[in-house]
Amino acid sequence: MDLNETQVDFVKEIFNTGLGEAAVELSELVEDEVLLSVPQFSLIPSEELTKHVAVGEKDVVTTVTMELIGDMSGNGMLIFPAANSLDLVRTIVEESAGPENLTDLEEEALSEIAGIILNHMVTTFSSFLNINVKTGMPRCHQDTLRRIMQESYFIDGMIMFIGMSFEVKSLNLAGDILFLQNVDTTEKFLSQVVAALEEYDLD
Amino acid sequence: MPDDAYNSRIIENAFIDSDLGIILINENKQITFVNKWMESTSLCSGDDLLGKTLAEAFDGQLSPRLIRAVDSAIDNGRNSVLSQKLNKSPFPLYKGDGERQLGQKLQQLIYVKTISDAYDNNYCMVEIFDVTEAVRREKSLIELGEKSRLAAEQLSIEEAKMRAILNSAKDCIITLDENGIIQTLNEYTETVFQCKKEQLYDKSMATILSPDMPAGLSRFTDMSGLLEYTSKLSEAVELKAVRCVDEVIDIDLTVSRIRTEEENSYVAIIRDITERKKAEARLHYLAKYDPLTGLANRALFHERLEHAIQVAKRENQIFPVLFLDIDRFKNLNDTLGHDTGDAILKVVSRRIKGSLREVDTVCRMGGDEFVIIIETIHSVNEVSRIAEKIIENISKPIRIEHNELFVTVSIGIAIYPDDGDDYTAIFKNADLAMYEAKDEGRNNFQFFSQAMNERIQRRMSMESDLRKAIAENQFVLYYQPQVDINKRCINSCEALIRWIHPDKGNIPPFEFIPLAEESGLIWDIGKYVVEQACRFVSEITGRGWHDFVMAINISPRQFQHPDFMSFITAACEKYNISTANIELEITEGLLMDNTEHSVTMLRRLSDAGFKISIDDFGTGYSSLAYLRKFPLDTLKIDRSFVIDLPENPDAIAVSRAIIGLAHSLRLHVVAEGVETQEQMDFLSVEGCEYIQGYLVSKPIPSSDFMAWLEAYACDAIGSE
Repeated sequence: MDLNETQVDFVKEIFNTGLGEAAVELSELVEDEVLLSVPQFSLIPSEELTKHVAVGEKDVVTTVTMELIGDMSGNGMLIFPAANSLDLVRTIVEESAGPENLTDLEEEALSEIAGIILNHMVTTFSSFLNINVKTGMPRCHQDTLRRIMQESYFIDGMIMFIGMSFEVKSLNLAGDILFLQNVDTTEKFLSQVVAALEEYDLD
Repeated sequence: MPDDAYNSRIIENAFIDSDLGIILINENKQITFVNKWMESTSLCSGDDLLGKTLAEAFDGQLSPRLIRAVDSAIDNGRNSVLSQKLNKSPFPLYKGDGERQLGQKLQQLIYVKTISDAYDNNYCMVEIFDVTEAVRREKSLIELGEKSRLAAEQLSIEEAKMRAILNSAKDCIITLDENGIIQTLNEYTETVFQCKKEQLYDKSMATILSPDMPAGLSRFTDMSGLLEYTSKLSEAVELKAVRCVDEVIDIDLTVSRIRTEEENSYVAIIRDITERKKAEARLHYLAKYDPLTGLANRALFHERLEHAIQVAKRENQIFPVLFLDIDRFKNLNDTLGHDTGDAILKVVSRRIKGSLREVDTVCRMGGDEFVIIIETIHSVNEVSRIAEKIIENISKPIRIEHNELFVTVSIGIAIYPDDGDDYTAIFKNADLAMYEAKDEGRNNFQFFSQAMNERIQRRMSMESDLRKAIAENQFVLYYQPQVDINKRCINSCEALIRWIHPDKGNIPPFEFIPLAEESGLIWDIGKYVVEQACRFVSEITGRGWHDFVMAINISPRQFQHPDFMSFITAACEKYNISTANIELEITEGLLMDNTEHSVTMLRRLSDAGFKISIDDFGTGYSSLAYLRKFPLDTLKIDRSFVIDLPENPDAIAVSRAIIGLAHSLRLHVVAEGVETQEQMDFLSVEGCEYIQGYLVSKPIPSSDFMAWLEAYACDAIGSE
């Protein structure tokens, strides 16, 4: 099932709203302005992820994964090139130096940030689509993209791929937000989108 | 089977005793449980907290973020992380009283989780982790990281410095592993070997060394052996290397071994000594070869001759040494210039080499002297043929810048071992033989002989005696009267030198004058003669014989001396005598040799008032035309004609002719060597005016001569 342009715009709008709210909370948390936006949205088979991200299969990436439970089960994920995640965390917590990899505490900080973003997005689309979704704990993980893609939740699924730009304290970097579900769940999500849009139109 | 209540109690106990802080909040956002850890760190009892909201329980000290996360968990089922880094100690929790007083809250990581009960009500569990220790660890980790970063930075500065030093070095500095594989190299290595670093990395050092190893190193088949060996040497080894462009260069190689715990390695320092080697080779060449002709020089000749002597001695062989000198080279050089002189030397060198076999040695000893060592000959005839061939080849015309020149050489030959069995003897004797060839009229070769040697020895010893004679004034002048046949009186004499040798007694002039001529000593002797003669003339004229004439023999060398004219006039002035009192006797040969100069010179002497006579007339080959050109006063008939008078028809004919010739040229005639009355009578009849000889008197000392004058002077004033 494909979405038409209007429907895609609608989905983007939902995610933008979620990001907007996440940005407000993050700004408050880091006591600085944080801007988040969605420049792109697409629906792709999970094995095609490499075509859409800016890193190679052998590159190390940092992911924060959060389980989704309820009407739209699956996993939400933020994915950054490793260097970007390091930059992001250290810029936000204002640490100028440190080891080459994220420390445990830094991973928790990144988990918190990603958790805020994912939670707001889930909250927003649950509310728009009138569905009930709970979230699990955000978990941070670093590995090569290839190894990440070998995780079970990646296999045979669909990805709602949301490119995201993240601006804070003169740092501007890109990361991607993925929602990984099985095909059925995806179909269900899309039907919900179509239904919700019709409902809004009726209104 | 334990019942559910039992299980619940166990689980509750587990939560109570957990080392995390645990807070449970119900759907009404009231605290329903806190564990022991929470109680002890918050210093509140569970009873104070239960039933209250978080905000109430902690007196509004909690961050909105925390409150919102809890709300979100209960309202929307959202789980949250509150990281230590982004949330500064959300709960007022302390490790103990001391920390509370100091305001040192626990560093916390908080998980806010949704828990659903059986009725699908969302509870919230807040888990609080004490990460104080983790924070401290991270802080020290970062500090440590910073320190090591600074250390690494310092190290890289040091390394950069070291690299700069290495790269500014004007030697190749290469590090190698223990197998001789190149690990690093400095920039100068790239310059010397003309290639990029990358071309040499991981290659064996064997790739840059020439397989052509010096003797001591050729036994090493691999680099590790070679490196280990050279690292133990105290000095650099010289060997050849190959550039990446396949050019061979000379290098000095110094190797140091570096031992660390992990590995053995080497540092090789390579210095490009190609230029130095070239300069050395050049120096060696210059030390051994003549740069003009490319022939061996005196030093190399010495080596070769010594070597030839050794070989000949061992093999019982003979070999000749040829000493070759270009005839009249000085004249060629003076008249044609040094460039032409050099060109001639080159041609002559080539022709000499061309006349010999490859194995023979030709050396230029300096100037126009060459020496040749002929390897292994079988007969003296063979040597003659070689010398003839050289003479013939050299005598062919030489074309230099449109001029055709003819050059001849004189060659002296000495043969080992007969003519000398060591360097000095054989070389000297070849030289002597060469002088003999010169004496024999040049353009020929002479073998050294013992007679020649003796003659030369005599001559040399006489030459040294002659020098001594000049210094010690062993000469005296004798005077032989010349008688006017018609008037039967004396008005002139010939001054004749006598050498009174302290050991050998009276040595006649014909024995030493030629040697004095050859050696140049004639000038000093001639000066003595002129001085003495003039002084004696002044004595005679002082006695009143004003027209007296003193005949003095002048040798060609004297005559050609640039100072002769000024010297003889000065002598006359010094003794206050007239130039007309002096008659200069010269030989026919002198007239022949250098006519233009002779004419001018004789003209000047004659104009100055000196009388000129030709001595030994008739023995040379005077052109009659010359006689007319020269301003002469007297011809002296040679004693060899006079001695055969009056019987020998030839002598008669010659004497008559000379007298006739002299008269027709208005010259006086003096006959020398007159010993008999008959001779005098004949000469008188023929019209000869003066005689000189034993008939009248032998040469006598000045005092005796003065007595003669007093008795027989034509002008009788002296006797008055």
